[in-house]
Amino acid sequence: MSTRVRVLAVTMFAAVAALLGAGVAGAHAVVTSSNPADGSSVAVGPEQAIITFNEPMQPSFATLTVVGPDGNLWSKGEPTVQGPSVSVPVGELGPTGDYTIAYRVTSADGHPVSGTRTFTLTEQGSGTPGAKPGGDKAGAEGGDSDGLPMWPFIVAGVLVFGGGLAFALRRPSGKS
Amino acid sequence: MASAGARRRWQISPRWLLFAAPAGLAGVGVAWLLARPASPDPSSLIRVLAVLLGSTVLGLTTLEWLQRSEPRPVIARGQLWRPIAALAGAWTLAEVALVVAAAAETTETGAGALSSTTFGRFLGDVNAGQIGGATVACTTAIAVIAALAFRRGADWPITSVAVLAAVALASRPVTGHMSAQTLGSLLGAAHALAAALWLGPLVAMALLLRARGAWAALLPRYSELAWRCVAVLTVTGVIDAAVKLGGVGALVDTGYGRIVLAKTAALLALGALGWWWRRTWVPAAGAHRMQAEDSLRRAVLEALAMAVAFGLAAALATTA
Repeated sequence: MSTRVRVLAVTMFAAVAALLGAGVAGAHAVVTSSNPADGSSVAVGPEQAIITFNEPMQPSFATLTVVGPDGNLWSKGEPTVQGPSVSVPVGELGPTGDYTIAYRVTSADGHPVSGTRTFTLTEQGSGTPGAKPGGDKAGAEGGDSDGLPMWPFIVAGVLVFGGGLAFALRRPSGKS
Repeated sequence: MASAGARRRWQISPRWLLFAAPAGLAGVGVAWLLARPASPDPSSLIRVLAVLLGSTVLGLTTLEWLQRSEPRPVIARGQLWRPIAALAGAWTLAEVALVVAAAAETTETGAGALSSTTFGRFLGDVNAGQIGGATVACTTAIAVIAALAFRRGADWPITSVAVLAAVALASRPVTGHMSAQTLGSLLGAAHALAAALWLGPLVAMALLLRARGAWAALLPRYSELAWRCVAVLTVTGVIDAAVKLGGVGALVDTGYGRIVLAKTAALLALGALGWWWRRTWVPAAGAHRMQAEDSLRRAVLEALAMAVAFGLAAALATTA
């Protein structure tokens, strides 16, 4: 008995040590840095806006946008996820003022994390803006252009499964 | 006359176990109030139902093992397939709803607007989707196996179903909050399975045992399993909470910490109840000195209390 207790105590200690040794434990992924840094001022727009997290992120369904003071989209194209970093091409910016980097990325434990970072452009650039983010989003993520809607398949599957199961589990009537 | 009528109306029946669903949802509600301004994901309402159903399925598969030393089985294997199939069917529906909810959240689309391509990408590329799909596959397989065994009166070993149920129950915790840490997945799985093995066999007994002799055979066995589950649950839960919170202050300052405190209170209350019944109910039932109805009442009461704790747990798992 005492051996068993000792083994348990040692195992527990080892487990705690291993977990604490793994570094700062956060519930979900958190942003450790961004480029441009949050609240910073830049004279020229960066090649790419980058958000870096404390752990590798999942590559699918990531969004990263840079929206300017004019309300236009200044990031170009789709974001790329590489390990803990998510980046999107930006290039030359337009009017001076506050730019917002908005991100939404799925972390390793499956929960999406989202948030914003801002930076200020101090010298006017000569880049061309993209569309307003709202209208663009509805077109790109509306889902209609993306194949058939899913719900009829799910409803049909559930009905077939539930009906089949109910039929299979009916009480034998009279026969036995 | 009147009192006899009242007693009759309040007669305990296994149907009362259905109240485990509102009890679990109430647990989520309590956690939601405690967590403010943080908030558990709404999917925890489905999650608690899924876990309660899954635990019951796993519990039903353990009955055979609990009566292993009986000269004559109290519960025949043939009696188990039908409830396993029905509960696994309901469990599958809950898991499907969870996958769809997760897909809608990850892709920022409404569940109705989700396209088959996007859903396919979610199932294939995102680990939450892969896990969800695998879980649905497991629960569907359980329902199909059990339904076939019931129809054909087959004498198939119940272990296959037990393993599938354990895998399905452990899959989410394995990839959950703790998965970022070394051994974290292992602890998460152990925690979830210990909880399921504490609740599941109790619900299964309440569902199927009708005779005093049956309780006498199974309850002492379950009691031995239960305290081991409580031990595993406590150790893994304390480690998880210590690592996640990182300090005593966070217990009160964060929504996560306050739910952990509520879970601790629930564990202490359930532990005290279990300890007391281990000294009174278990010996009495084991010695055939307790009516089956009295045993059933205690089992249902304890299962409902545990369901509240399961609600807290489901909410905690989806609180940032």
